Amino acid sequence: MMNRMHKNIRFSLLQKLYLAFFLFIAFGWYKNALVPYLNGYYSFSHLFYILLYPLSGLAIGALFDTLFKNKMPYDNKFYGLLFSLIVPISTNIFLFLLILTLLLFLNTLWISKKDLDLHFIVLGKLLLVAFLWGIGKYYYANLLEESHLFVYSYLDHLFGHIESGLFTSSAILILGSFLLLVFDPYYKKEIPFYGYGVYLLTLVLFSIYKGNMNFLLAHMFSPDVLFLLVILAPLSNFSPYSKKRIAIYSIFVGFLILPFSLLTNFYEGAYFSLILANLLLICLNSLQIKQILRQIH
Amino acid sequence: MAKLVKLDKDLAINPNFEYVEYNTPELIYVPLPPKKEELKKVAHIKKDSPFYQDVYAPVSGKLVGIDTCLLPSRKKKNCMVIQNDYQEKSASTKPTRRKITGLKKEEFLNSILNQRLRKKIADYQGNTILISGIDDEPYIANESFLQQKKTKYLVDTLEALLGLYPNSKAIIALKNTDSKTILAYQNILGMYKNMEIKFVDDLYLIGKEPFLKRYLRIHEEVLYLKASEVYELYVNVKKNRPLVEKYLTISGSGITKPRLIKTKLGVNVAAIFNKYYVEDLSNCAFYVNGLMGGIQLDLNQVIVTKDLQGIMVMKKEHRTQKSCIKCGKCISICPFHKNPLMAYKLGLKVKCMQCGLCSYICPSYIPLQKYLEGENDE
Repeated sequence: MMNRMHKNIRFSLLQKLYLAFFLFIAFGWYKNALVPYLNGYYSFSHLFYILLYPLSGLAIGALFDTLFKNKMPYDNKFYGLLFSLIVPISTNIFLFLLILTLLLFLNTLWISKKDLDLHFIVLGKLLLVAFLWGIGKYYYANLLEESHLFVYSYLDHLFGHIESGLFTSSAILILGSFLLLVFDPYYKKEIPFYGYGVYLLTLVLFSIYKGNMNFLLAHMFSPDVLFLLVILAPLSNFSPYSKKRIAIYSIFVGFLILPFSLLTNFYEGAYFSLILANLLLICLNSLQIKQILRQIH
Repeated sequence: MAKLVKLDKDLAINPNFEYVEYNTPELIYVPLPPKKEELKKVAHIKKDSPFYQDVYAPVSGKLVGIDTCLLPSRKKKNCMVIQNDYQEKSASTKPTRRKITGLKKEEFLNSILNQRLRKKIADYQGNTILISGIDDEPYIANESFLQQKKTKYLVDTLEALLGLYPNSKAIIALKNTDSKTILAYQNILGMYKNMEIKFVDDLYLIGKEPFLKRYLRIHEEVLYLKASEVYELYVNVKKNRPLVEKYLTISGSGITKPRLIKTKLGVNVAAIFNKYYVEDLSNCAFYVNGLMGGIQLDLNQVIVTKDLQGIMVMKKEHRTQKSCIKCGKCISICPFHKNPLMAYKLGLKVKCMQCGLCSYICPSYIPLQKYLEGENDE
């Protein structure tokens, strides 16, 4: 029984994230389903098919929460929905469900129980991409974008007309959701601040070095990078909690985004950077715990 | 030290107190002195009587037995049970002093019955007396109420204290929201040139010495006293008797009428509740000494001691404790940057001041304060 004083601001970060996800889904549906349908690239059923990803993600998550009696504030429903946002459009729904189920098993039976900080959503996306690449079905463009009928400007890119994850293409919406989240006391705002600052700095320096400022304009609002820095990286379960570590972690992630993006591409470069930082964090945490326990005994 | 925080108010708690005096308890419980055999010599106990070392009885009466009591610190202790004869026969033979100002330091110190206070005043070498008239715990108003009721006595004692240290000054720190206390001082403080009031914001823990000094930007050593300690000095020095009564706050969302009760030390808290609260409190939890730093106890055996500030009666609410989300708020809010997470996860015994801020901020409702005490079991 605990009814001593508590801060009145309850944990509303999750609700804010759900609101942001709803906006992302609405825009993703407009960009990847409605516009191509109106231009005759997809059938009418595609308008509903694309919504199966978030809905089935939520349903599988809810099933896991019920089966395993989850007590995590960030529940499996949340992770199911989150994973559905970032998958490439080429992902088959059954493949999506299979990988999501594996990830949620991993989370429930191992990560949560062992209290690990492993960012299994990022890991899952990289596994999915590797699989898609392996079977030759790796692409982010919908049929309309593949037709190359339109030449989008940088401003169009900013508003979301760019190849990206299924529901993550609008940089403006991501920045808007950042404004929504930044005032929440439980949101680790330092991570997107420092991470993006360092990423932008590396991008500017690289563009100057290459003498190509278009490169800067093309990638400074990359929706995949922004989504990773605003939504995925600050998730408290997978990020450090002390101020000093948060700073180091976010600078590390921000600094590695460009090199990894150049080595791979701008869709997954940021994900590689984050998973590397995440693995290092896990190693550091376990070392610290071992050191403390050694001091005690 | 971290920045202090302003606590959110609980709107279910009525902040308006009714003042009552509970002077006629039937039984009084006095913690047992170390040597029990001395007790056999005690036939009839007189009020204010030091019948063993510095143990005093708040009433006169008959020793009727020994019972186990619970102190506010959760420690169990055997206590002498004194049945009140309502005669109020005092053992004190020393007359009340007409004036307490102008006393020599030695004379002043010799009058102080509280050993800790005596040592503190004797050891102090500086010239700044800092009085905290602040109740840190939310909804507890003992210090504030004491100052409103006994302003003149407190100021007189302060003047006497200033006389002990050459060229000294006194600073009385009050919350800027405590208008009644501010008014009470302002009515008389114009006559005392070495005393000044300093207002502080309504922040949790600001009444504690290190935080108050930092807030007021005082860098030198000060003689830090709480208003209740100054009043105890007054009773000791002026009246030549120990402090055997105190103010006690009873408040919370479980009761409709919060009360400030003047009661004798050693009274069973359950007796106070039986007298003043007829409503059904079976669906309530009792927090001793506040909602932040206090602990939940069963009131049946708790007795009033100097450490008891108040009882918060809270309606039971069911909140499910969730897993830690590693937000790190508990570390960033801790005034001394302790790591409650380490204590919670690894079961480490981390000593802290038990302010309760980590439990207050935790979005997963983890009672981190408990783990900091090293108690891993519910």
